Amino acid sequence: MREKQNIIAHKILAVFSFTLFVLAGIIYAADKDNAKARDIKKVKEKEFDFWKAVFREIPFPEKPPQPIKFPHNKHIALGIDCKFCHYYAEKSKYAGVPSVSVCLGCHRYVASVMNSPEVQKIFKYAEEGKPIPWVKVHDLPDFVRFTHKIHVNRGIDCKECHGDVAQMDTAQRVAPLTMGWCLDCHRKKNASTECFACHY
Amino acid sequence: MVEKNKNVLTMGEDGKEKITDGVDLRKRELFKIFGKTSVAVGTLALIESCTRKPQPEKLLPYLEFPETTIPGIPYWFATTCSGCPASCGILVKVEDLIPRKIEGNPDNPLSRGKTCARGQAIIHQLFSPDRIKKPRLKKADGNFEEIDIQSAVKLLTERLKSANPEKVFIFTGNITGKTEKFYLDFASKIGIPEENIIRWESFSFAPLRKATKIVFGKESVPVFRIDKADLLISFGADFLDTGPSTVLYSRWFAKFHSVNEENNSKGKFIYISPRRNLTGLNADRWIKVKPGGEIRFAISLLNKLIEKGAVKHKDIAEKFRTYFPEKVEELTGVPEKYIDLLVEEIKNSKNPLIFPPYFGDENSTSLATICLIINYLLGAVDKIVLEGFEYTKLSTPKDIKEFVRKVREQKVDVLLIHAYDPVFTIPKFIGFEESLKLIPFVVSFSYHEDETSQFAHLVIPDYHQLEKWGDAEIIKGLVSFCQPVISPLYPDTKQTEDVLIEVANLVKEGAFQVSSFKDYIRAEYGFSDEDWVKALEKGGIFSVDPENISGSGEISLQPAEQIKDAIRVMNSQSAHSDGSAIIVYPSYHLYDGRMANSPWIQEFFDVSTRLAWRNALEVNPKTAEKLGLKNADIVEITYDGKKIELPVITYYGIAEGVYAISLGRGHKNYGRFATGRGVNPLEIIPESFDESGEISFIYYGFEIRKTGKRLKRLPTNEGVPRQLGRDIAQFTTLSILPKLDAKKKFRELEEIMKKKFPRGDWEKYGRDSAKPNKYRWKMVIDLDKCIGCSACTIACQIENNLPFVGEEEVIRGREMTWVRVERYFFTSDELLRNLSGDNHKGHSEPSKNGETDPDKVVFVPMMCQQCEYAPCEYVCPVYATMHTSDGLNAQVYNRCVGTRFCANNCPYKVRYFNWHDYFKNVPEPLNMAFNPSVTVRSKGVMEKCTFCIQRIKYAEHDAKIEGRDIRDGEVVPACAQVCPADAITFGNIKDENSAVSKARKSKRINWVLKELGTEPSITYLEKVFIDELDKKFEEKEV
Repeated sequence: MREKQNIIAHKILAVFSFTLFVLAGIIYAADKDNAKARDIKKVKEKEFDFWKAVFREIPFPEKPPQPIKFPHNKHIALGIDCKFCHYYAEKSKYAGVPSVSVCLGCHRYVASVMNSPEVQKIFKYAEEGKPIPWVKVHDLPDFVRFTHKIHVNRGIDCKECHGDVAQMDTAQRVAPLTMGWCLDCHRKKNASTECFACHY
Repeated sequence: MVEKNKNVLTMGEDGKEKITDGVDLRKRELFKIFGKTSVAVGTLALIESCTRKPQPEKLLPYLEFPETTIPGIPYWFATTCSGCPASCGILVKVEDLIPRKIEGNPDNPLSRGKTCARGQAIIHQLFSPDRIKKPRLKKADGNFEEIDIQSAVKLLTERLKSANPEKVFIFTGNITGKTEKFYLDFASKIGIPEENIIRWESFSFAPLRKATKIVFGKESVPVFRIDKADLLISFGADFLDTGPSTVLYSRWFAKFHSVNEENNSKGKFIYISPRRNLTGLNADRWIKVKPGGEIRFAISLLNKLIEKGAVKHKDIAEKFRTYFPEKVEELTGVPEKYIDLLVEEIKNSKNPLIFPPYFGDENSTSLATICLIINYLLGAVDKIVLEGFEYTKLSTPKDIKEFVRKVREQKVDVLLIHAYDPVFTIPKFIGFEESLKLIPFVVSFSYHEDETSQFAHLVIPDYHQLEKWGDAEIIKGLVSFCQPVISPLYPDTKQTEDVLIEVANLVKEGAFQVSSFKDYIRAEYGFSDEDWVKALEKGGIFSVDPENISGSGEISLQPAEQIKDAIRVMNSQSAHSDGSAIIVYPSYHLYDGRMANSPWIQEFFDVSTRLAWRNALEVNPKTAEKLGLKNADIVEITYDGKKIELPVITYYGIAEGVYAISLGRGHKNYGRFATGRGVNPLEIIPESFDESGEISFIYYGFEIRKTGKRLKRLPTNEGVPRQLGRDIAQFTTLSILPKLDAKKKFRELEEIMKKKFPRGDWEKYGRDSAKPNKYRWKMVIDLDKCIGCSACTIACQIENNLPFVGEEEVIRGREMTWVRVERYFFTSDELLRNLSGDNHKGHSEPSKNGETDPDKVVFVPMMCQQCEYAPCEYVCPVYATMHTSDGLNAQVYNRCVGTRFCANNCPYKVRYFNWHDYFKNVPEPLNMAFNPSVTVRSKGVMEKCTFCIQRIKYAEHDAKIEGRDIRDGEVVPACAQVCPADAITFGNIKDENSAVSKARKSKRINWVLKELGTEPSITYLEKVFIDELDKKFEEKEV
């Protein structure tokens, strides 16, 4: 009799805890999503998907606020190549974010936008001797060893991962950067799909 | 799940800023409350961590691009090592402006691209959290006050201005090249007499220097061409551990001692000493001589050689004949027949060489003298290069005693100390520590917290070696430059030489024409801009190559009578007839203790005792049994009222009745990793000097008492030192070697595989089944070349971001060494008994009664065997470990859930589990040295050797971009790169001409535990013993 009671008690406890856990998960994920929605302009309003949240299909803001509203579109429209500023992309694992001196290299002489408050920020950072604290848009987990060098040199266009930057102002993530997304492309291009290709 | 290590991998491109993860704490708290009330707490934590979204990280660019570097690409800078005075040329890998890894400089003829274990670890000293960051001034109450560098220099200047230059003394390390000239210049410009510069290194090689003076009339630490010898007899000289150049001698030793398969020949190495260190463990025969008996042994050997006419200069030889002590066997503990056998061996060999000791007991000068005489008489002087290592001006402990006397007579006003911690390294009986309190003004230039700096009145922190300019000329004509590889970490530190230039210029206007030491060196060498850059790139000026130097045949002996007069045999041993003695010896990895501030060096398993984090009293197992001592029992050693307490470790490499303690531990103040670890025997040793002024390293008349206390377990990585019938350490003998056949061995392996896969389709499961690949990576380790120095272990740890785990965790057996060097002992008897057939192994169980101590040693570097049919792969429930098409056994950290099935199923025990977040042990800024190309593993992840996959991938990318295949030798794993004996070969076996394919054709090829059918990718070449030598010795003994 005692045993039976015990079993029932266990069952109740299990059901209770399961409900609790599902509820908690939903509340948590939903809340997080809402918080995100407040400060980020979304490309496309998505329905909240619990499972996607669980499996990290939505890692973090696709277009985080940046310290300077850098208009990629304007620069590209002027005919500046990606690699003019991100000039390690062919040589190194990092593409490289331009230093303040690179910005100043042009902006010191471009009188037309000299007085824009955003451009003035560059001068301020240079004066203070501080790096511009850009926010990472494309951030892979630290257990992924991604290398720009091999991708760029093997003919992968910047667009394929970074989207049509010519249409963006501050950078915006268009690809989900999930492993499935990486593998899709790796399969298509007959690149290595072994774990050791990226994880070591 | 792999946690993000912010400090390492998300480092801004300027390499300085670190961003912390901003987890929403309130929400976590809420969940904790939920969790406490629910049984689903674990599940909740899981979902919480799965849905936790990482906050965006910052991306900090440079203010200005450094023109010469590209972030993410390694650059190599040549400089000079400071791990010991040998000053090997090194290359430092600098990635994102931070030094990450050290490799030998291939252009430097001394190091030839290799380093020892110490050289690997100097990078930890650079980033040590306990470096002195600001100058300090001692206040009246004895506390220190931090001041800035300018006022420190000013204080020093004032002091030197007012002081009598005759009473100013300088302590330096072993200074050579233009650095030496600088110190002499500095002294002369201020008026300090030259003899006031005291060059202090713990090991002065004084006995050997004095002996060369006696025998050849020239003080020298000669270069011994052991690579040219075919018989080497060492009288306790540990040239592989702490000799004048460990790397050079390791290379030559491997060359001399490794087998020549075509000629079926091999150099013979005989080691005569009461204890075996790394050098001794590599010997073919170890002759256990009683402590203090070496000199009598040597004299008997000399006499027997003359008697049997084995010498060349017979007329001179006759003059040395009078020295024949009676009762050799009783005094030395060695059967007299052994001497006859040695004489026979010497007679039969073409190029014998006797290696005299660098230090030893109080007779070591005389012992070295006799060794040199024997060498002369045997005509071995062509292998002794008197234009040797530049250690000849080092001060001896006796000189320090003289200095202490001067202090007591108030002849010292100012003392500048720019040497590694003299308070720690000078034996206490000399009274140096007390004398420091009597000196009115002591300045320490230590870069790191140490004991000496506590006694200093002013501390002006120096740069670390990797931030410095300088030069070293350890062999005349072989100059290695030092250049900074990182800008100084702390702005209030300054290179000592720069401080001295500034001070000299202030004391005496225009003393130096230059304002920095860099300019001084450049001006002294008279370089043009172009030459200077070229020399720095190359790492030095190498006009002399030790490979090409040889002793001139014209070395002449001093008059025989004069030499005879110099030989004295002191008899301290006879006062203690039981022969029990304590040997104090320098440890391979700590040197004199200077490396102890690297936690990885602290966790380095000693090459002889296999002990980490502490030292112990080494006892022969038989003696231990007699005294009722067990491993980890704590004993107290008393000498003259002074006591030290330390645990006991049993060790086969020590004669019965002899004890040994290693030096380099027991720091009282050397940063958080070294302080309070182990004991320093220099604190209790009694006064005893050799004739040359070096202290004796063997002591009698002490008391050993059990305290009744015990350690739970010793922090060692050794289970049993014997094979116990397993087939791990693989060896063969010279007489069997010609009968071996590589093809037969491969056939045997195939048979095993067929048995394992009886359907005959075993080819389908493993090799090349998944996806054809043009690479198949394999490794060959030559056990005959391996000297067991374990440099591979630490090179691997640094390359692959292995953490140190701490003493407690080592005791639990959780140490992390992807490559460990296993060491197996067995008896000569075992070797000889199994000679029948060609398949002999150390299988037979040794009989317990009357067994002699095992004296044969095989070192086996053991890492992941990258099995073609890996047992770990079958059992992983999440496919975190699997085979790649190029033959690697991959371990995917982010997929690993930590079931540890793989480690349990691995027959080689080479998988290591992260029981905790060990990387959190690594304090800032020590984590700067982490390799950004390798993931830092967190708790709950299994890890193991990957054949340095990051290096393979780097080369693969380069090759792909250039549209070619990876060249042979382009990928070198860290272990193979560092190996000073060149025992490891790595490469692609699909390339017929690669070095590894050729190495696999060797007759000695074998696999560890091949009977399990794992088909390891690592093949071992068996160690070869000289059975003929053993037979002779063993037979005669009966």
